[in-house]
Amino acid sequence: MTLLRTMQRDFQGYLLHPADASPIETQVVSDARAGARRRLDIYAGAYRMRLEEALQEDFEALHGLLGDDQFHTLCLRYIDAHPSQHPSLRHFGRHMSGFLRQDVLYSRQPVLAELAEFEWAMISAFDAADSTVVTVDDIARVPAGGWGSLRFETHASAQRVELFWDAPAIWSAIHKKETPPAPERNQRPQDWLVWRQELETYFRPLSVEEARAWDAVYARHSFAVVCAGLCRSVPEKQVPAYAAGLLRRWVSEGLITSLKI
Amino acid sequence: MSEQHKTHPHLGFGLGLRTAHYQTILNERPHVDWFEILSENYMVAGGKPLHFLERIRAQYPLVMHGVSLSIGSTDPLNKDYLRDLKTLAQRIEPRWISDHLCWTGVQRKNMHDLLPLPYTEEALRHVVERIGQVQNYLGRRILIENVSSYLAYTGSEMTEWEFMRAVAETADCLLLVDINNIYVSAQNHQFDPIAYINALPVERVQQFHLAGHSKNGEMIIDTHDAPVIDPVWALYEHAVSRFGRISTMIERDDNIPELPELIEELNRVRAIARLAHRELAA
Repeated sequence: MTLLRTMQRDFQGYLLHPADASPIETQVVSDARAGARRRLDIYAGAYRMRLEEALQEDFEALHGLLGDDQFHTLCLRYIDAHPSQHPSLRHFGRHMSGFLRQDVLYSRQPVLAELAEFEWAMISAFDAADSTVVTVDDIARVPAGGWGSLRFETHASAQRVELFWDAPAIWSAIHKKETPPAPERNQRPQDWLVWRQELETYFRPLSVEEARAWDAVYARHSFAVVCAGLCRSVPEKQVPAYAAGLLRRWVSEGLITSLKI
Repeated sequence: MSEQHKTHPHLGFGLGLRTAHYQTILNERPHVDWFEILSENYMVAGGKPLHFLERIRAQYPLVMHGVSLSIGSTDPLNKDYLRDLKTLAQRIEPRWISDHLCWTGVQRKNMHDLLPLPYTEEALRHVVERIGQVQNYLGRRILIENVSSYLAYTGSEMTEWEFMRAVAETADCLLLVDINNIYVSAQNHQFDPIAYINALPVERVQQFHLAGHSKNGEMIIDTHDAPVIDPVWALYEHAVSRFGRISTMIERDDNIPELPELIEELNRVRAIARLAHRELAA
């Protein structure tokens, strides 16, 4: 191994585990101004501070719910568990929800993992790919015989999130600088849709029927299959009008980006 | 003064593009000659960052400044990162692309910091070889910037400025000289900042950075969260007298003020440069 490679591994090892004795100390100049350890600690401190700032920016609601001290503890544990592996800090928090689900300190508070999952979905929607969207006029031009085989492409920002806890209500309160409601768990999970229309990010709850239809559309199934799925919970005669209503809504929300006949 | 190595003439006086200023820039078309973007902030698929970038790009020249090239790392160059960098460059057509003379991590980890290199022959060969790879891939020469540092290595075989000069000349790249970083490192390592500036090759310096910093005990930390201080203004004046008309910008990454305050600071940059040029011409 080259000297440079060894030095870089030692230095990085110190940043990741500054409490451990490290061979990097003997490779750093000490002088009257500051010793090697003090100089290395500037980097070790900055490393954690920078990553914590990134997490504060991305998980404002989680921060608000936990408070400063507990959020700081969470950040330190997360930074140790998931060192960044991406060139951009934008992606650093991507494991937060999974971490909260599994970490011994947090796994008994499942609202935290769900709140992190919801916040990450909002972040993902924020800078997901742009695309032109289908309009009501495009829908009107579908030939009568083309509906059964019609398939849809959905906006890259659109994500369906399944939550037992009222994470969106907590998120909304904290973003409005209000006191968040005490976390409440639903008996059944609630489906939420998170997406971006033009430059604004939105979210709303989905009914069981809409979630099922959305899943079928997202999986690129035909409109006939979407309607067949709706027959499980909507009276058969009402299915065409119900499905058309969903489609109109998705189009008006900028969720459909192309039609494949 | 030879301009033969430079890829672009003087752009004037610029600022780092920050999200807090997007709307003001588009509404008021402020007197800023160009903007520098942080490349990684725009290596995304869509949404607000690229929306505003496209609109600002239509009105101002842009340059791209990265923090994750990790040119000095002993890990292989990150091909996905280079691809995304090139894609962004093809999209926004920056006047030039820059990154830092540092490493940011090894073993596929990123410390998100500009970590200093030892100034050794081994590191020099390594960095030169990689700049060559990057320049070939991007199809253009890049600018390499000196970083602030808080430590030096016992194994260094040359000074930072000797290393910078050797990198630029051997790799045939250009230099982004951060005047504040020279000041910060000079304080932290007790060297003469004027000697540093005087040792850099005039024909390869294409851009200056100016910024503020903060004190942490006996050390100075490059925080980009305050106005430029007088000793850095003095160094800038010296740099202008040595390097001539160089595209210069102010970096502010934290404690970001309203745009007019930064423009006022930029006007001081203009005034110093104008005065120094006049004295040079006299």
